[in-house]
Amino acid sequence: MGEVRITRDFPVTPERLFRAVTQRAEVLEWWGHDGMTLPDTALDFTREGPWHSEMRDADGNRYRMSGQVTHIDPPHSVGFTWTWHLPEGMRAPKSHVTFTVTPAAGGARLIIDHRDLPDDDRAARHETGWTSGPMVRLARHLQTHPH
Amino acid sequence: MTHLTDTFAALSDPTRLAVVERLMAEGELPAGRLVEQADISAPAMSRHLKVLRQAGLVEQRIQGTSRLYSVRAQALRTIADWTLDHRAFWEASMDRLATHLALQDGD
Repeated sequence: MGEVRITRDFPVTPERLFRAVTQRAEVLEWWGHDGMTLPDTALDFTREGPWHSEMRDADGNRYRMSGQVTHIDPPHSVGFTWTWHLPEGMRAPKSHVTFTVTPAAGGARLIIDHRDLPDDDRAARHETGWTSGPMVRLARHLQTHPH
Repeated sequence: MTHLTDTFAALSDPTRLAVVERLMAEGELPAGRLVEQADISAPAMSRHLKVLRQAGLVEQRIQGTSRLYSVRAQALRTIADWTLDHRAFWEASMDRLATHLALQDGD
């Protein structure tokens, strides 16, 4: 399965960083792709249970995802599942995200692990992919026919 | 601009997804060839192709008396770019998190 790991250091305490990545009002300040608005979100990572997020781009396209917060260990780590919603009731396969906060020189380090992504996810490079065979082939076609 | 909702909806139908797959595998084909293997009537195929065209997934070219269909890659790439690039999602989010923390806590 594909996996993404992103690590970044911030000049704040681990406690401060942990609040910023878990408390709803703060998560809204940074969550999502560039250029998107967040018209409908429940992004509270301070307690176990369901979350969801809907992003909207400038053309009105909506991107909805949801999951369950599965563990919280403040101020060290929080884990949640992640599923993209597709129209017609389709769902992409579930993946797993973990935020890990550790002390670092000059502040705190945030490690984001996004696991169990489809094998052909762009995360694994070389190929863009989707949820299953047809979409994987579709993506492969796009790669070999870029124009 | 392609509307992703239309694109997803168009691909959610198995017959239409099969048409797109076949056009990817074999390149440009006339509608008649698509009907032969789909086990549906020509009018039904015509409706499916219309949906795919309106969603921007396939394009049509007229050559003599034939209508030739092929995959239009751009619409599909838009989908892939958005939902598949989790690294881009988190990188962009981290950038804004850094800005947020600097504004809140800068001293």
